Amino acid sequence: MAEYSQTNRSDRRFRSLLESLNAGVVIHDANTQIVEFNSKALEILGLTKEQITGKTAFDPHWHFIDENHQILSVDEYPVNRVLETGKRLPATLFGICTENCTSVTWVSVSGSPIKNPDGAVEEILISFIDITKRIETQKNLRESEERFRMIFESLPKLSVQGYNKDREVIYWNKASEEIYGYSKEQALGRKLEELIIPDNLKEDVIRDVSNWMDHGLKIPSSELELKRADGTPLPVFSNHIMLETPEGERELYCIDIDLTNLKLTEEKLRENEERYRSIIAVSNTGAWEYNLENEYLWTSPEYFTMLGYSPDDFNYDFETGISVWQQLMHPEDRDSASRRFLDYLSGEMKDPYENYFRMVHRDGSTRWIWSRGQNLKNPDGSPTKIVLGTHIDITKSKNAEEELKQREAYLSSLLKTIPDLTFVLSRDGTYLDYHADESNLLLSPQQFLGKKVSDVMPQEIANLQMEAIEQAISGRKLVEFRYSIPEEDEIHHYNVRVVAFGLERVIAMITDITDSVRNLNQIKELLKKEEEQNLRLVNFTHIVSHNLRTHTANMLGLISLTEMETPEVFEHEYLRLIKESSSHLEETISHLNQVLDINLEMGENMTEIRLKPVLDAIIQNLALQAKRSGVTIRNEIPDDLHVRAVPAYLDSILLNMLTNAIKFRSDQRDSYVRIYQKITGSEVVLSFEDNGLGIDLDRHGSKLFGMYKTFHGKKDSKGLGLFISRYQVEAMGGRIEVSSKPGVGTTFHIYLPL
Amino acid sequence: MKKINQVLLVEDNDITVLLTNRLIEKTEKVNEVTVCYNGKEAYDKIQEMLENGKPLPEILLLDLVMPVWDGWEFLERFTPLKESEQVEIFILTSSISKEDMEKAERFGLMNNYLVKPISFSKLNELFERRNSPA
Repeated sequence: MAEYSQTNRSDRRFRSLLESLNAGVVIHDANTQIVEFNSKALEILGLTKEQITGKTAFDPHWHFIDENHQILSVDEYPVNRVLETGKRLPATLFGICTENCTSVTWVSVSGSPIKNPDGAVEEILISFIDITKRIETQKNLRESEERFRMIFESLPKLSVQGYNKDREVIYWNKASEEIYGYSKEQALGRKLEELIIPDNLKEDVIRDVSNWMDHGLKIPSSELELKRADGTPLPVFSNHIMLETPEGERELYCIDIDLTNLKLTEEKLRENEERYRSIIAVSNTGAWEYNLENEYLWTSPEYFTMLGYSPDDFNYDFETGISVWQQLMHPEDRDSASRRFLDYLSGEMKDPYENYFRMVHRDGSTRWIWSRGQNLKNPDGSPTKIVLGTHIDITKSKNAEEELKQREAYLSSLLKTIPDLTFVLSRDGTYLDYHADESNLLLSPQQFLGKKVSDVMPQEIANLQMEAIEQAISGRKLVEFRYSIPEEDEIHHYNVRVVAFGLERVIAMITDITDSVRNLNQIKELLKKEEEQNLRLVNFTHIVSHNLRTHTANMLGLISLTEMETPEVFEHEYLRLIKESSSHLEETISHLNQVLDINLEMGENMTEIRLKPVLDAIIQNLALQAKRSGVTIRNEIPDDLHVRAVPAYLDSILLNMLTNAIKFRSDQRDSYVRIYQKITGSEVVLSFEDNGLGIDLDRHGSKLFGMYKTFHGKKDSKGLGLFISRYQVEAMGGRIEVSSKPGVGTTFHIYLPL
Repeated sequence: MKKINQVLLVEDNDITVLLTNRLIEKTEKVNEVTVCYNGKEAYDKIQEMLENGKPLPEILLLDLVMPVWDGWEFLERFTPLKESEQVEIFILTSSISKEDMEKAERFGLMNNYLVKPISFSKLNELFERRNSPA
């Protein structure tokens, strides 16, 4: 204490210095007993003067813990460490814990040995600063940082990357690994532009980053297309933050959101919309949307283009409402269609809206529009204020429908004008429907509708009907049959025509042909009588002609015999006249026979005949007669001309034509007859041209080819020849014409089918 | 010149018989003319000749329209007989109807169809041909 007194003044200075310190100070002696302390030490340690005085390092009341909350042994206490090492203890973190360690006071402890001149440690100075608050704050910060780090790490699809000023990766979260395909290990330390920046962006990125680092020019958030480890592009939305470390280093953090799915969805949406739009465009469908609340009408361009307009043709915005629609509407439909739409809107709008009306195309034509709409529903199914709908141009089908209606009306009125009975029957023979004046029905409709033919008609007729139904359906053709049925006093005849429509039904049209059958029967009977009469007449004619011929033949025979035996008697004129008359009689009868022999249905006896040789033969036969009469005959028919004819008729016609020309030659000039041909279409024309007497056609034309007409007053003319020729030509399907001029000549034209 | 031994004339008309007879006679190519007035009579006559072993006529001139059997009926009965080959038949008729001509064809007589009145020259030519068949 003496010493203490001696040093009283410095001691007081020292003491006040101790007290003024913001740090706790404790001085231990070499036995670790506390010999000096200041009040700050008491405060920090939570001890009183009495509690601390004389204490050694070991004290069961409290103990030191390390930063990891491990209780330290006495040897590890700062005083013992200094004592043991004899060296300074730099500021070290310790926790001071009393009793149960419910609360910890964190202190930064430094220690210094105070040595005597021998170098032995005499005293130990321990100073400590309460840093509990700082430690707590640091811990909280660390925890929060850890939490954020965890969040960053675990953010799915949210890539967080940190870069230093050299653009080297200092942070790479899990999402970055997933999104960019580089593991954390691969990424750390590598440059931004080496990893995820595509070539075309590299320069920009390097420039932008250094501008931000050096000049504070912020990189704005944006959509970018970056690059994955495998080189594939990656759409991202990229945010950038610049952070500054306590050391003043700038770090760039990028937070990238993977847009791949979003892009895909967007694309899909666009695709869908495009598809929808193209469907609309192709199908000539206009879309509309009506908002009840503000009475806005939205329409797609097709709404107008389908009517030949452009949307720009209308000074039109949402607010014009449905007036655009009404404006384009056909005047006749305007009121009713509008009413219908407004009725729908004012109702519950549970069912879809549907309406047909006409709108007027720009070209003035009327278009039938099929409008359909539907209320947009809330998720809970309640109606919203929006109705969506479409306009479809159904003009074509509507026109077809109208046409069908008109046709139906036409057919039905046509049907009504037919006095027939018409039944619709199913394939199994059931009467399905009928059309008839009921007075024409034998049974009331109730008696046959729904019943089978076999239940209604006699078996034989039912069989015919069923057969006809089957034939009509399977053969797809009109099938006809007839039946007769006794009604009252007369047998009635019916003609049935059956046509199929579809595979299961037929229409049977039944015509009462009783009258025509009766008429036909009468005609048949008449015809039969006629035929009998005709046959009798033919026979009679044959007999007459034969008998006549017998006698003329005898007369001619007798005359020729007389000529042989007593030719001188013919010097008598009367006998000469008898001879001449007999010849004429013979010729007449011969002609009559030819007429009888012409069969008007000779078609099957027609053959192909080469004309020229036949004609030559006839000319040969007539050569003497022609020479005697001074007539030249010229055959100008080509060698290869063939005609279809009945040989006997052809002979007869050719002969007749030539003999006529010879007979009716003119004595005034050298006579000729030339035969030539011409082919016109499906006919061959044989012409016989002479320069004979000619015929006055004005007087005789209509009678020229009649029976027993003569036109020349020439003694040999008997006139039957042309009549026969005409009938023979006609029997072969041809015709004969004449052109003539009295005193000039005549040309006969014989037309024969090829 | 060899003469035709016998001609059988089947004809119902007296004047025709007279005429034909006279013409045959004038040809001087026939020894004997036998006349029958219908087909039946001619047929019977031929049968009789056959029974008596007499030679048949070399030429038969046949009318068509006759009472009892007409010419056709005669042909139908006679031509089936094998002896008919010995007789050359000529139809001598006043019929010029096509029907009859066609019927004649059926008996192979198309070229032996003569229409009355037969001329002397025709008859003469016919007998000549018979005597000297080509």
